[in-house]
Amino acid sequence: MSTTPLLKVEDLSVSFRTDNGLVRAVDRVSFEVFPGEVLGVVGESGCGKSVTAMSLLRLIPQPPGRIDEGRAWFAGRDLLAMPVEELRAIRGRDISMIFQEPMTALSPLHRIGRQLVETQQFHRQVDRATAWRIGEEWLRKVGIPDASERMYAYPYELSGGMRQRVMIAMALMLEPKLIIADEPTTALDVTIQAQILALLREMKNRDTAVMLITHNLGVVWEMCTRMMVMYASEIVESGPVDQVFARPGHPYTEALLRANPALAEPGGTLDTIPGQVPSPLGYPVGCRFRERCAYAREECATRHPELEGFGHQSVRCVLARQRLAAPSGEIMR
Amino acid sequence: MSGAPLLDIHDVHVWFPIRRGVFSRVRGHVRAVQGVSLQVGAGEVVGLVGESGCGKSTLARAVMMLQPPAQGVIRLEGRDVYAQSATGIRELRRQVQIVFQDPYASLNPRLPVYQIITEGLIAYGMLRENEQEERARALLHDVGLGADALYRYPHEFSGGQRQRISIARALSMRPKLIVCDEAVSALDVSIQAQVINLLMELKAKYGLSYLFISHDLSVVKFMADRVAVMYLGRIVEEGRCRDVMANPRHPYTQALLAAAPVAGGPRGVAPPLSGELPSVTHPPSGCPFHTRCPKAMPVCRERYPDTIDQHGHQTACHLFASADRATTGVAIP
Repeated sequence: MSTTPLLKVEDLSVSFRTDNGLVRAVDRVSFEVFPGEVLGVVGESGCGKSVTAMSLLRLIPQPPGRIDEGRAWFAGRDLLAMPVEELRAIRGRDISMIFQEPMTALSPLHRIGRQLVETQQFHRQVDRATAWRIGEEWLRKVGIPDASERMYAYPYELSGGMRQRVMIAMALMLEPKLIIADEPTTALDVTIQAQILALLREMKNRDTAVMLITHNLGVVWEMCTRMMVMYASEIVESGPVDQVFARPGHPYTEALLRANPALAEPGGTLDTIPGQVPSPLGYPVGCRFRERCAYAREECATRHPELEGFGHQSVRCVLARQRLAAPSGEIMR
Repeated sequence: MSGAPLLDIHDVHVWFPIRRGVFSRVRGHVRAVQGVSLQVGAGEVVGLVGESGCGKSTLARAVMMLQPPAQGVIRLEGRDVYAQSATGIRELRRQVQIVFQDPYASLNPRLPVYQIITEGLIAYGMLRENEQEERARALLHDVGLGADALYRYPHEFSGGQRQRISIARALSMRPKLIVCDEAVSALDVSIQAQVINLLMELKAKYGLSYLFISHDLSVVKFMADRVAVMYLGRIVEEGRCRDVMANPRHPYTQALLAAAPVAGGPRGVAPPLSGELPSVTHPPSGCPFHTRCPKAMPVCRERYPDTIDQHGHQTACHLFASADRATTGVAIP
């Protein structure tokens, strides 16, 4: 793994204007992605993980959305400041995105083959016949049966899982340097998911970086080298997957792990997180997880903790130092 | 299990006609469910797993008395549900309720919550309209929602809360069996944990049984007493959940388990199963799994294997049948 980050995001903040007021969807988020690494981004619906990803390619609707501040350095240039024409050349070729809902990402009016060819011709000097052949080859790689026939199919003629794989083929086809995958396998059967994960792993081995947004902790464990956890628009923890699973520094990370049925003893009761995520219209002054936190103390109500680094792990919690010093296994189970 | 099981599915086949041509003549059948036998005892949770299109939901519809089988019998407490008079089936329908996957699509957006959860009772004449509110309050309490929910509409609730409302609606009829069709699959991990705990609590409190359909093996492993694995309309393996999960026999079950990444488990050990579920309209000959099976033998192409029972752990695979074909149906030491 290289030591120079491929993508370096600094202090990204994004807000949306709504009828009820201004919503800060992403709040001073900073992270790096290195070549050949899979970075897992974990958090519950509405925590800001998808908005973070979409903002990097400036895909959020503006207005009502607005990138308030931040820089996203990619190959020495700021994605958030460059002219849209330049960004358009980067989208798809250098950075591609896999969305959760494939029907919105594919054109319903054009055959699969044409869409695969067009994408290539937009970014590369390639003749139609070659582009067609490459497209067909990629359909085969993502496990679509009868690929040569499917090239003539319209998206509506394919099952959800197949459409998802067409989009994945489209995203991988140009062999981008960075793949942003937003819940790429959530709608798929485990067997198909395993095929897609195997493909992503293969891309990673060719030094492609992957930013994998998911709420499936099993997928994070299986695929990722590092992970970051988002809660209420902020990063609350980041670090190597093994370390974070063994010794979660933030109580929210710990609670997420404990709520996972795969890690629980059958027949028992699952640990849950009481209460609800605070409304983004008015986050509390102190720690945003305080009201649901089993370890909350007085100072948490007034002090908003910073994301603090401890070796490879970073944690946004006043108790972080103490928690990370505890012997591993003390916190979990 | 002692006496007659609560639900007894015996050799059930469900066929859908394929109609073609100007006169919509029946040109063949899709055999969605083929010879499935499965029992659910009182107070038992039986998991049903398999890929999309394997027939899980069709079987659920047959159990819900919405899809008469082409062949076979479904009994509830010993009574053949498809051989009932109009009043008989009405009473049996009350005893089997369902919770669907998508809580956004399965609640009427135009009704306030108290009506949604008491509608069935009114229709069955089990409740007078002036008692509606009081009963609704008690039902909401059962599923952990406050009385402030009574007059609100579904859109005002989060996914987890809506699923609680769906559960309250199912519960209102005092059923003996609840079919949970991917009931927790669409929820975030922490919310999922709450709903799973709620289902287990209600089961203990009211002596409910669940037929728990899910593609998430970790949830099934956590909740189910027994599990049945379906492939292309048939049950290929069935047994006590811990036996099947710890020691899967059928190559398909093994592949499913290996395909699902488990947080904290071993990483990237198994090569993913290739391809996807074959077409149900043109199923492969013999054992339909032979097209994807890593252990397929010549005999697998020719005929469907018998189901072998070893201490209540049943497997339909030639790997076991060929070992001792003479003792079909008899426990092998």
